[in-house]
Amino acid sequence: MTQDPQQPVRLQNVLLEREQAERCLLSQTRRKFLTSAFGSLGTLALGTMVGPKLMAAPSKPSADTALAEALPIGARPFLTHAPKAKRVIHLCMAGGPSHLETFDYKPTLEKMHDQPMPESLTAGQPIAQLQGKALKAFKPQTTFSKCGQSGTEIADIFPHIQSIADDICVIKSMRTEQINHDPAHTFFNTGTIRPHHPSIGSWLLYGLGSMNQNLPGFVVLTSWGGGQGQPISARQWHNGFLDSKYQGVKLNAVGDPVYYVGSPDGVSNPCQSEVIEAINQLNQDHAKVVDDPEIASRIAQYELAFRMQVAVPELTDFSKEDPKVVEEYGCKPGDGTFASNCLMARRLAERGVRFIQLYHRGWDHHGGLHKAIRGTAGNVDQATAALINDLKRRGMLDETLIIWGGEFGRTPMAQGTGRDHHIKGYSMFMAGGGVKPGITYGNTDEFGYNASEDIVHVRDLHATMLHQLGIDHQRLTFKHQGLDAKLTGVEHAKVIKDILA
Amino acid sequence: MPLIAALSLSLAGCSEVTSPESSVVTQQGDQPTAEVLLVANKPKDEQISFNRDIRPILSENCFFCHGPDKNHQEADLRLDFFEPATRDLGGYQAIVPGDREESETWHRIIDKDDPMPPAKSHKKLTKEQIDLIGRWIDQGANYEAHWSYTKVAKPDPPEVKNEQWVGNTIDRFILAELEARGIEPSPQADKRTLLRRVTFDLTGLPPTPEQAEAFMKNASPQAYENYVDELLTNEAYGEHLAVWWLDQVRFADTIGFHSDNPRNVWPYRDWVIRSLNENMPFDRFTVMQLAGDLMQDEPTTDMLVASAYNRLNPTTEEGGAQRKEYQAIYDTDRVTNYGEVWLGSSTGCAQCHDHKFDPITMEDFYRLAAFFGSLSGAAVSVERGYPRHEPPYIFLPQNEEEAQQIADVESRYREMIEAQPEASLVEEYFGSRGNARPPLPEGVMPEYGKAFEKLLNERKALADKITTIPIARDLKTPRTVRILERGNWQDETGEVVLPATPAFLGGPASTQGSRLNRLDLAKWTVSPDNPLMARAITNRLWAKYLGNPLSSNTIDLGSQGTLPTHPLLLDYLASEFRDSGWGLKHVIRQIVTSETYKQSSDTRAELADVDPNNRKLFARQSAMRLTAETLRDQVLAVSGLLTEKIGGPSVFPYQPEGHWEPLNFPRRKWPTSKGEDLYRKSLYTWVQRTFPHPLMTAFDATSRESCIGQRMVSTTPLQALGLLNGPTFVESARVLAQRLVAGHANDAQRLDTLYSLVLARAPRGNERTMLTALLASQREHFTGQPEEAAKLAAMGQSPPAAPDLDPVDVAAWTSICRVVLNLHETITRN
Repeated sequence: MTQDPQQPVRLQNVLLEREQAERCLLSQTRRKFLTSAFGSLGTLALGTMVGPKLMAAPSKPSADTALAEALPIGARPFLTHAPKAKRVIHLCMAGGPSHLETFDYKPTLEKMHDQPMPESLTAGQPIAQLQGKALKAFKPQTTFSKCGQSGTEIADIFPHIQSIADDICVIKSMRTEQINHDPAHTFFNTGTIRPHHPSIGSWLLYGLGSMNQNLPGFVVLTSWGGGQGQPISARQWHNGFLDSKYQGVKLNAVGDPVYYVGSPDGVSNPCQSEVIEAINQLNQDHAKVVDDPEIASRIAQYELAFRMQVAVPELTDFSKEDPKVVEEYGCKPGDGTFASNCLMARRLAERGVRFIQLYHRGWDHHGGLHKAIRGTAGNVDQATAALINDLKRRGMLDETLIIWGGEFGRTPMAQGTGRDHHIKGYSMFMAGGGVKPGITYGNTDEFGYNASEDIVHVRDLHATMLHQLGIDHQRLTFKHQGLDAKLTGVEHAKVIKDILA
Repeated sequence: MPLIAALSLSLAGCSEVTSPESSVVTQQGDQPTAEVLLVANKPKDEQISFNRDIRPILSENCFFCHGPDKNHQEADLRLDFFEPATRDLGGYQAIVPGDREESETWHRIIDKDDPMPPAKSHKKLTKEQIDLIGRWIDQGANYEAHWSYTKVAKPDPPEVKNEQWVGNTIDRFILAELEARGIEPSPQADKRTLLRRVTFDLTGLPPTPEQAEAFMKNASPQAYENYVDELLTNEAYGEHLAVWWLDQVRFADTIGFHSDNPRNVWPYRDWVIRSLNENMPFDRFTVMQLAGDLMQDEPTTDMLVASAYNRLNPTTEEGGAQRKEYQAIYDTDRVTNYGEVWLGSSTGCAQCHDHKFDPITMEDFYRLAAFFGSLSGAAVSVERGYPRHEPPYIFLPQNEEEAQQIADVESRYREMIEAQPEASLVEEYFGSRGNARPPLPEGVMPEYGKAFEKLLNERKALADKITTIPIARDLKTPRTVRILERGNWQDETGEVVLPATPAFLGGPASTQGSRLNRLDLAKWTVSPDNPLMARAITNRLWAKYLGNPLSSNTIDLGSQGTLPTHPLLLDYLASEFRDSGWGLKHVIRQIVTSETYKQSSDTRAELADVDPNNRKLFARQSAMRLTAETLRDQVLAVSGLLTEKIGGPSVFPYQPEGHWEPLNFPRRKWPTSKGEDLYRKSLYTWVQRTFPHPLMTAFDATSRESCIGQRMVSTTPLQALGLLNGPTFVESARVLAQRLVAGHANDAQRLDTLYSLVLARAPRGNERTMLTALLASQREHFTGQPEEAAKLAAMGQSPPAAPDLDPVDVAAWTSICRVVLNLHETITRN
């Protein structure tokens, strides 16, 4: 599909419209109150109310005031090359989807079904719920097809993802280190299981800043369906030892989309804006009495909060979405499903959010896998493809790196009628953001047990992702407990050059 | 005193910048760089100090490959102490004392083509650093022991010119440094600012109007000191300081991993509050927590409750979690926390390899782990839901009736425990998930085991009704603890180790015939042989009351931490702490009654270059945004909603619906408290480790998963949204508005009272003008929107306004209160 040249203009229009709407709202409400309090000041813009002294105060340069696009190579030590992607959308399939039923077809398992697994593979290997149990091979519970011109092998439970086979890069040789859900997510998100380390999105905000002042730069959405919903800790989007401003913000389907973004009951917008105006005016006056540079930050913080009160409802108002597009995702917008979250992911991407993370909980198929995986696949298949198609049509796929996959894979061995957790080899896919489309990279052995060709460790995935954003993963560091801490940690991590366009 | 002046130079940033924070963003500010020039510009004949000038350079740039890690010493060279750095390497030496030209190190670092450190390390020495190293070698390459590992000796206070300014000894250390630089201390803050500052700092609450009036009227020169003494006996003191401690020991109400089910440890929190209020000597406070269960044959209930410290680490119940893996994780976590809290040392590195920068070896790490390795407790607990009981636990009957209910079961329990030496292991067995049970010793099953299981179930049934707390108890046969290469729990080839204190500090170690236990560890920890505890604790106290620590990393005083800005002051505080019989109140009183503490927090132009963030000189106070807890407690206090009850189970104030949606096993709903429990102090708010209360998180409270010696202070729009729209804040504003409207007939008086309650002062002219205009505008608005007024005037669970109050008045005044409660001045302690 060719890019629509109109798209970038449209995006700008959206941004411009919103800015005008905000200005209008702010100035209307402000005028009424200010005219009564300080007649002559009534027409001044909020920004100019902050006097020269405050504006000149040594405000701390902060990463998120700069647009990454404005940061040239070398502006920071870790910006070593031109970025291919501006943002990342991580579609986290929480619970650990079976690679053997999705992207990694193993005929050997058909043949060996119910036979003992070779001990040469399993002896001494970490194992979860199958501890002390007989380890027998379990045949694939889905069928596969070769899809697209690329012939990428994809399970038939994903008809929509099959239709975009030529847009994605399947990695069949993933490896991680943690075999239980909670630490495995922590490891994927922070590169370590040591507590208090920043998650990927926080590292990106710290390194690149946000591209939208009025929305959080790192947004998380969750959905659930198709199987047992493993708990997901807020630790997964925590800033760790980085500043709290880099923390991920969970967008909620119920109640306020962002906590406390709605004015209290009985407080309408004009009333709220008067309150904020007064706070800022009094804070500004206070700056004449004490010398505290933090006052300038405080004023900016309240201005931002009010702009967020305007921007978030605009973000969550799906009424202007083309019904055809909504239908393509297959959701009722705002219903908290993965599909709705995918649609929201596109809206967030359009608005400059740097890191968008969707968790779909429901992939932990210890038993009844045959049926359950069809349910979970049905929850995510259509919307995953719709999101990628939608971004592509808008000319945004090239600059958006999509990562799809779980915290680990599942055993080639049966656990009753399901599969246990497995970390030595599993599959993920990537799309957009300068990754080669229509390829399959790496492989596991004939049992789907060990990643055997072109092994991609989670660290390598991190390094590759940072690389696509113009960052040298070895240089994106933060001094913590005396060490230059990195997302990729102290072990060797490599950029997977072979999958880059 | 040029010596002091020199010692006070901070060197953290003497190395080539590799972190973006230090090059672009100064928000962290831990890496002052201007000092490099100051040091380098000193006269050439100045004596170079290893600790001050050289160690930070070597630690940052060289020790990674040429440091203490014996498995990673490139070229068989280590530069961290004299002997190996100067030994004969076959006709040449890395360092030849007194002669840089003869020193191989010198030639390697000035090599044009391939200088050390190598390019792949992304590190580079600056000209100034190279010059320093050269001069240090020329001056004899004198090495010094690392400052924090030397014994704490009480230093002589320096002489100062301006004797008049000195309030107590602390001030001499600060002033001497300022005088050497020709900088004046800041003037004392005005009395009202002091009142608010010290009340928040010591009690976590704003001054009450009564406190304010009494203090402001008291013209005695002793007024301030007397007020401090009064605050130190206020029970809110212990509650407030408890938060500081609970952050360090990572106290929480849940287990922390996966299901993140509840953990019933609130009685430990209450013991902390009581102990701090009683000013329990810190050595006893320490020993009770580390080893209360071992202090005497029949430990008191308090000793056992305190020993719950050992059970605060995050644990899992996840199906499929392996016993040995999680046992290793818990041992590691306990050593890490112990090291950070009591040794001010990040031992965690030594889990996988000898520490790169400090003399902590893997052996030290696993020997410390062995102290905790004998603790009884399921690696993967079978328990789910609430109420819960993680063996071993004790009952804490709250009344005579409950005491009687447990009497019989407990006496049989004691008998069973005494009847079988491995009883604790059997109890652990029954408390573990099926696939994570430890092997039982032979002969336990079936008779004893079955009978014990039955009794344990009886206990469990009672524990559903009566308060329990998990405690520390050692297994009869300690678990085997091995050195795990690269931290790999599956590697069973590592050397088996016995408990020992870190070898480099020269403390006690087990021998084959005599095994040390946690009590030995605790006793050594508080002994004069451990120089780290006193320094670590007083460094954190300084940070709490001055805004920044003396040594920049509150949980690492090792090589990668920084030399204190005022090393002698830190040692003075540490020795005062020790010599006062480990009195926290003594040290705190000294700090808050010093003139240093009482300075104005205004920034000063002449400090803008030397010390913009008040991290080095303390020539002023720091203005600090109130903590998550004090912010909320303040609005509850000034509105009159605050429930002043100490202790008890944690409570559930308003939290956004759906915040716990991602929790599972079981799914849970936040059980919003009712009545007075909605308005308890924030330290009693339930801490769900995987989903802490969003307002607490927004204001930098921690998830209590690891030791936090000093919270970060951020400024984000989410904070403004929380303060503007959070139900507790709005409800407090509404209730406060009712109070004002009901209490006074006219608006001017109402405004006076509001300012007096919140800011302990009268409104200024501009404030009066502004808020009066806002009030008029809001009244007009709500008059036209009576439904909105009614809604706002009934916000929250507290009783609505009396019927004779006009909802329009209440609503309009609620807006005024919201403004005042959101002011920078209100949420800042200056």
